[in-house]
Amino acid sequence: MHDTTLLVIVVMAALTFDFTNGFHDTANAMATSIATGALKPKAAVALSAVLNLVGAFLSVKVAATIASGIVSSSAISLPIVFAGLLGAIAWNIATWSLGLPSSSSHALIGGVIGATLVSAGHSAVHGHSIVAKVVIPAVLSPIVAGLVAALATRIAYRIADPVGVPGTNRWFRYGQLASAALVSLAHGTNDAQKTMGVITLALIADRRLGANADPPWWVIIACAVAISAGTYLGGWRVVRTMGHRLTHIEPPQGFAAQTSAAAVLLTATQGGLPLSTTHITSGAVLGSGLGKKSAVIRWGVARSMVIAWVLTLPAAGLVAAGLGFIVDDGGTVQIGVVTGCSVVALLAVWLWSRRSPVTAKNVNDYVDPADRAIDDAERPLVEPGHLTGPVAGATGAST
Amino acid sequence: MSHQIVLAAAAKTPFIDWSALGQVALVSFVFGVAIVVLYSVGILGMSWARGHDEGGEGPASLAALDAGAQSGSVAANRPLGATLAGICFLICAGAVVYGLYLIIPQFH
Repeated sequence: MHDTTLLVIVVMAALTFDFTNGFHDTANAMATSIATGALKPKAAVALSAVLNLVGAFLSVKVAATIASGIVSSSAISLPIVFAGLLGAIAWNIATWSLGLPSSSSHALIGGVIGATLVSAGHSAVHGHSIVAKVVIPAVLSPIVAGLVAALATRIAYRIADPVGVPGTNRWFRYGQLASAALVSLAHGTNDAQKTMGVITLALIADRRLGANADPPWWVIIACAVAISAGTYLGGWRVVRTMGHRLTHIEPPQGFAAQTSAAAVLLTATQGGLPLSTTHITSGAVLGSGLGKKSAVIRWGVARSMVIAWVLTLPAAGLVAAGLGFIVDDGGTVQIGVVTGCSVVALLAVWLWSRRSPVTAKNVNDYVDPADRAIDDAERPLVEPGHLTGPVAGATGAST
Repeated sequence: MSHQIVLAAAAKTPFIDWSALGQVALVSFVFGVAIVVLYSVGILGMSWARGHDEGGEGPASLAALDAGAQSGSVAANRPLGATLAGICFLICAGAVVYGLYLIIPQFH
């Protein structure tokens, strides 16, 4: 295939991944705020989109390689990047359609590993570095975030329980917004950078940029716009899972969970450990459920989520390996067919998802009748609307 | 003896940097819990400053109201509550600014 055409396809695939990364991860920053009524759903995604956009422009230290130290950069070719991206997109779309929070970064790493394995063999993949840099932190981060959030939730209720101390829900919501904003901004600086790195890598592999070059301005703008457009679209299915289906979140829990997530995320980034925002936030939400005595955690939902996390690397890798096997030679027909089939598959999943759409309007509604029974039983205890003013009233009306 | 050799080898090429992981876990634990505690105390102070004693209108307080007059302690709590809220919220605002400082690479 002509190099320019292939390059354009790879760039389009990278921006598509960036877009799916945006809507898949909206929940990390905003699910708890949407669930507790700190922000209206549309306002929440708009705020998150703006902060992601700003964050993308702030990041100057661009990761030159997607999975730095995980595969040999010499093994990377355009078809491999292409197959890796498609594997990651496929996993993101599949988990989104099931409403499961899962790490976009893991999907990308899995995709690149899978495609590299097929094209360059296992010697090009640094196994120990995958365990040390990806697997161990992924196991530990949700546990740490969960413990922090559980203790924080317990103490928040001990000090300022909305039932005992009237008017506190509103202030917990304000605090939650600050934490959510920090998580959004951090997400923009981290995740948009990954796609910038992929496109820069593709340009370097195609000899349009020198090795170690910085991303051109159009790459930065395109990636920033793609991730923030995705964020604004809102991955409502994932938001619903994180905000409602795992456990019912009240303002003190939302504040404790989001603040714990922000603390873990910022500390880890500072300590040079690139953790998944998704794992941290999901762990924190579960922890906030554990920390409140009367809270109900739906362990079935949590189990599906953890299964999705475990499958992320192998599943994205498997898809990427299969596609990498087809496109490795860079043949025009193969790449054309794979591109066409991918577009059709994406459209099919989207159409399937329209059968039970989750939108900004119904994201705070429940679908599962069993869930509804639980939440109806909880509500009189946890949402004393007459004590907490208009903000609480708005939540009550929308649930 | 052999144990020490293994340890030395592990120190030379850390397969997994447990101490970094432990530090991150500890620091985020302390920071996360501390901020939530401070903010919650601030909220409580705010509530005192507005003249709500603990449990002023909530169901839990009904027994307390029955038990005796609360107005004296409420009035005494007001300046204390305002001061407490002011200090706590200020520290939390500082934490948010520090968070921004950590996130924005141009600052360092």
